[in-house]
Order: sequence, then structure tokens, then C-alpha cells
Amino acid sequence: MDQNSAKTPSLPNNGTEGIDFDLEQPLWCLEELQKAAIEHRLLRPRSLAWAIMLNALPPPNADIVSRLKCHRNFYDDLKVKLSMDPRAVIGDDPLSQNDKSAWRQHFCDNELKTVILQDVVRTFPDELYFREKDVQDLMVRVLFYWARSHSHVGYRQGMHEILAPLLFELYLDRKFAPRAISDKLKIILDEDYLEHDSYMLFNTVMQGLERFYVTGDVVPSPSGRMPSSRMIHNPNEVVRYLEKVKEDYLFPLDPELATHLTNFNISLELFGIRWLRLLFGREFPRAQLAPLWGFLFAQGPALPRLHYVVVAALLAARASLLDNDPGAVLSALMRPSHASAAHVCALALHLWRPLEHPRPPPPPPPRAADSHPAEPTRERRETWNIEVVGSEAVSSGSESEGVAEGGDVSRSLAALAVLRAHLPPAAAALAAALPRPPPDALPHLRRILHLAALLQCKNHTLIDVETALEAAEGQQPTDNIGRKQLVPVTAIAVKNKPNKQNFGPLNKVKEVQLKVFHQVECDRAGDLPCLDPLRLRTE
Amino acid sequence: MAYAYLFKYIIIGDTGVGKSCLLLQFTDKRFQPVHDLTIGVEFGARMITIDGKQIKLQIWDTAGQEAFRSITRSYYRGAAGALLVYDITRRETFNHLTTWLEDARQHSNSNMVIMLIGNKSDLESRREVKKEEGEAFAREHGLVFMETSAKTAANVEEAFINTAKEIYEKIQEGVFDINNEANGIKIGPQHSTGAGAGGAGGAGAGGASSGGCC
Repeated sequence: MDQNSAKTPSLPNNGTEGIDFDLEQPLWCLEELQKAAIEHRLLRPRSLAWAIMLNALPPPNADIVSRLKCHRNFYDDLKVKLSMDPRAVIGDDPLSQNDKSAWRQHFCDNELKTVILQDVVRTFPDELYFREKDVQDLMVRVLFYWARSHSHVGYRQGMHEILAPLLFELYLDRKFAPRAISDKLKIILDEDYLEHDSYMLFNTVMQGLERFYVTGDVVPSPSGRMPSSRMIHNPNEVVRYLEKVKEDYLFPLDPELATHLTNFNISLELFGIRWLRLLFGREFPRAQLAPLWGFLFAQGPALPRLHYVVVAALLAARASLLDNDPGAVLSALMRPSHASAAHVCALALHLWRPLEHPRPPPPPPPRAADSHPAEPTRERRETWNIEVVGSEAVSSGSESEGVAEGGDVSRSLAALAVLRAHLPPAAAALAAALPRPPPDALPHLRRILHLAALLQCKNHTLIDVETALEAAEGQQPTDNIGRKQLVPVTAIAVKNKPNKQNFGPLNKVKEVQLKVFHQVECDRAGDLPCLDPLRLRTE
Repeated sequence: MAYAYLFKYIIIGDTGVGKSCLLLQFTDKRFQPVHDLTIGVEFGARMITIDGKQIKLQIWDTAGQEAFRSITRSYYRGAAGALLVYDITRRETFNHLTTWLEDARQHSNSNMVIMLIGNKSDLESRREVKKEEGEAFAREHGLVFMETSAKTAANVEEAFINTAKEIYEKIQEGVFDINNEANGIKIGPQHSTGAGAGGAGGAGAGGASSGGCC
């Protein structure tokens, strides 16, 4: 990234106020905001940038104020609707057993608020802001009204740590706003609407996260209690999502790591549930959270890049995760990441669009002391620095929107080059490792060898293999609507492996994962990556 | 690190009873007055010595609200010991014990050792559940019982270690099939037969294996 553009975004008194709180700048359009978010250089008010990227508000040049007022009125109405005074209801009484009784609802509501408060008081224990009673009460109200108006989800533990960083950004934006700001900004940063705007942002972010909170067919009682487990049959969506991430992304991208975790019986849900429900809030120092969230929010409330961040976070910890002691692997997964959020974002970006975003250099290895198994799980907690400095900005090149005409062809050629370089030796090694392959594996092995023979070619030596492989994975449906695409359909090492025992040695033969590609017509619009596990949901 | 056995524990109980604080006190010897909420599961480990043998405790700390039972039950199945925790200053956490116990029994192996823990014993003035009640509940359901304070560390070591002792005795009695990892017990590297992995520090290897056959 251009160092000059990486100005420390928004330190309160470093003379950048004019830049930070100036909606007249060209930066304040969706496209520019997305670009800035990817490069970790969003300006204040950052909460406004988030709201625009999440489609909750239009850009400032559109009618942002009326939309904002709409959101605020909605919240006021919601509050009125959901806080009926039971004494005002004629013919109802506090002992009523009727499900529809306003009194009964009143008691349930009180219990739900108690349940929420019990968690809210534990929000970021080391952050003074969240020790204030007013702040805690605000959080309880926002979570309560959200839970009541989303009764199929209800309140679940973890939501408070989604709300808290949003609220904190809204608060910081108000706190750092200079006196002289435009009338528009004055309305946007109105102190009186901190709670309303928190609800707006929380509600928007939850659109993407709700699915990670619902648990099968279980719905919490109106008072916020979870029913007992016997009724639970459906696997949770979060578990399904993580399984899909593992199968469709981790396995193809890093079969060795995926197999290693599988062998140790470590499923992604063990830590993935926390990663997703808290949107990585515990995995990185809190100062790095806002840039990470900006990165995630850049593509709208469906968070279509999320699974790349999951995989990138795993790949960034690869060295510790390949340890031979399952306990050490677990500890590594339960601790905050050693890699910075900036690194993980850059890696996610690379996995997403390898051609446009080079792979970031690997993070420094973890210090030896950090891998002690008895270390408490959340040791490395840094307090929330008021501001984030862009020193670790992602080293991504500028986004080249719109791929060149020959993009598809070059990708196909690149994919072919990878196959030529890697399939024949891998197939040969596989054959050597399996002198007597099991009968049901034999036809597959033959087919692989046949394909390898077909690919034998003289002039593949000059091709940059690493780049080429990544190219094959860098499908961008947004740029390829209606055109032909390469879609990896099989990861040979995974799906066609003759048997598990030979999988390990096979991996050592090659550095990269092999794939078989075929061409499909892609005529779907939409901004989700082609392999997006969520695509099925949204179709 | 070499160990004779590895025991897997789970800690269960309502939100806010002090599960994570008990774990932190045990693994780290410190107390955090406000602990952030456990989402899903957390994980801790510590080495203890019983009968001259190094035993590694691998402890799974669980979320209170959804009881993570809705997430996966495999943790129950794979546990040799469970700490079932309530808060002596909040009666409802005691009232919910039956549900927790049912759940644990339903999804665990039948030999799992369950230790009932009344936590926050330092808050005597706010006590809502008498010690006798905890004892009675434990007696009735065949559990081991202790009152602890994660804050003062009172009985915390004992709770984890006594559970391990119970498990160890059961191994000696041959109750546990130690070769089945689903029971939450794993034999340390120096015990594994035929591996020939140096056998360093395998002081009690013979004793333990002979204990299994009586």
C-alpha cells in the first residue's frame, strides 16, 4: 500500500480532524469506503462508514439524514410497542396464566433483562467504558429490544460482544468530533441518539451473524432461558457452516493442516463458534478489531469474505497448529492469534483474489513462552487503544476492478501449468507408495496416472507455479457473470485418495494442492464468491 | 511433557457460577473478579501428581447459557470427570443442578466421576444455599461434594485433585477401560506398549498397569 495514503487515520489531536470529520471528501462514497476498509484506513466517523458499507445508510451525498431519522424513529416505535404497561390493560391480572397476558409478558421481560444484564456486566472486563452503569443499561435495552423483536433467535450469549465494539465506535466518533462540523454531521453524531444508532448498527450486523447464533430448532423461552437439550435434533447452522469451510476451503487450500486437525479430532466448531459469534473479537488485540471489522463489513451485511478470514486465521497459525501434541494444538487454537489482524486480512484477501492481492509475508513465529500449555486461554488481552494506527496496514495493491479480457484464458492456462508441474510427479509418487492399491482405489489411481500422462509437456518449467495455483483459486464471480469460469471440482489429494494411510506421504511430495478443473457457465449475478458456502442459503 | 495418564474434565453449571474462574485459579493461581463470558468452550491444562504419578488434567470449560450441549455432546462423552458447579449465593443455580446432572448423565459414559461444587464460599454473608443442602444433594445423587472459593483459592486444588483421585481409584479397580479414549483417559507416552519411546520418568508404569487386572 502506498505509505502516504496510510496516514494514521484518526488520532484525535494530530491535525487530521479536517480529514476525519469531513463528509465532503470524495472518500465518502461506497466504492471508496470499501477500498479504504480493505486497506485499513477508514476515516471517522468510522461508525458511519460501517453503516454505509453495511447498507444501513446511504452515502452522505444521498439523503442520509432522512434514512437515519427513519432508523431512529423505528427504534422509538419498537420501544413503545414492546414496553406496554400491564396496568393499562383492562381485564388482565398479574396472576393470569394466559399466554397472551400482558402481565405474563411483563414478568418474562423482566427476567430476560436480568439474563441479559448478567452477561452485559461482564463485557470487556478491562475496559472502563463498559463498567459505567449507563452504558450497561443502554446495552441491556438494545439487546432486549432486539431479542424481543427477533423471537426466533432471542438473546444469546455473545451478542453483547458484538454490540459493544459497535457502541464503542459510535461513542468514539462522537467523542472525537471537532466542534466545527457540518450540520449533517451534527445530526449524525447527535449524542441523544447513541442508543438508537447502536440498535441500527447491531441489527444490521446481526443480519449476517444471526445464523451463527441460532441453535437447530431451539428457541429460547420468552424469559431468555434455553430449553433442555433433549429436544435438540438439528445440527446448528454454525456447525454446518464450519464443516463447509473446512471441506470446501481449508482442505483444498491446505490439505496437510486440515488432515492434521482431523487426525487429532479437532473440529472447527471448537473455536469457530467463538470466532464467528464474536466476529473474532477475542482473537485479536482489541485495538485491531475495528480495522478487521471494517474489512469484514466492506462487502455488506452478508459478510461474504468471512470464511476466507476463518481460513486465513488458521493458515496464519499454521506452524503452531501442525504441532504433534494435540494439547498444544488446542491451546494454540484457544489463544488469541499470534498474527496481527492486518496479516490475517491480507491473507484472506489473497485467498479471495490471489491475482490481485499478493500473499503477505508470513508473520513472525510465536515466541516459545507463548506455547506453554498451562497458559491461561485469554492472556494476551490488550486494552482498547483509543485509536488504531495504520502502521500494520495491509500490503494489498490497489483494487483493480474489472479483469482484463484475457483473464479467463490466462487463468485456465495457469491452472493447466500447475497441473502439468505437479500432477505427474504426485501421481508417480502415489503409485510408488501404493504398490498394491486396494481394489476400489485402483480405477481412480489409474485415472490419475492417465491424466498425468496426458499432461506431460515440455515447456512448463518457466511458469511460476505458486502464482498459477492461486490464480486457479481466484475465481471472481462478480467479474465473470455470464462468462465461463474455472471451478475446482475435486481436490485429488482429498477426494480421490486411495486410502488414508498414504495421505501423509503424498502431501510431502508436493507443496501445493492439486485440483481438477472444469468449466461451467456462470450466469448468476450476486456478489458472493463462487464457492461461498452461504450461496445455497441465499439462493 | 511426560505423563502417566491424561484425564479429561468438563466443567458445567449455570452462567456466572464461576466455572472459568475456578479453572483460572487452578491452572494459573490467580483470580479475575470480572471474567468475560465463555462462548462455546475454553480449554486449560495442568499437571498434578497422584500416587507418585504425573497426571495431566485437560479441562474443558463450557458456556453456561446454552450449555453447549446444543453445540456438541462429544465433550461429555469424552470426559472422565465433571465439575458440576453452582453458586452458593444464587439459589436458582442450585435449583438447576438436576437438569445439568440429567444432561451430564445422559450424554457421558456411566463411570464419569462427578464432583459437585458450591462456589463463592467466601461470600458467606450473601449465602442462599446451605452447605448441608449441597451435601444432601450430593449424597442423594452419588456425587462428591465440596464448597470452594475461586477468589481465595479455598478448596480449588482439592476439588480438581480429589476428582482425579477418584478417577485414579476407579482405574485401579479396573472400572475404566483405559484403552478406550472415549472414557476421557489416555495413557501417557511412556506407558504405551511396544512404542519403545525411551521410557523416561515412567516411575509408576508397572503399578498402574498391574492395578488394572484386579
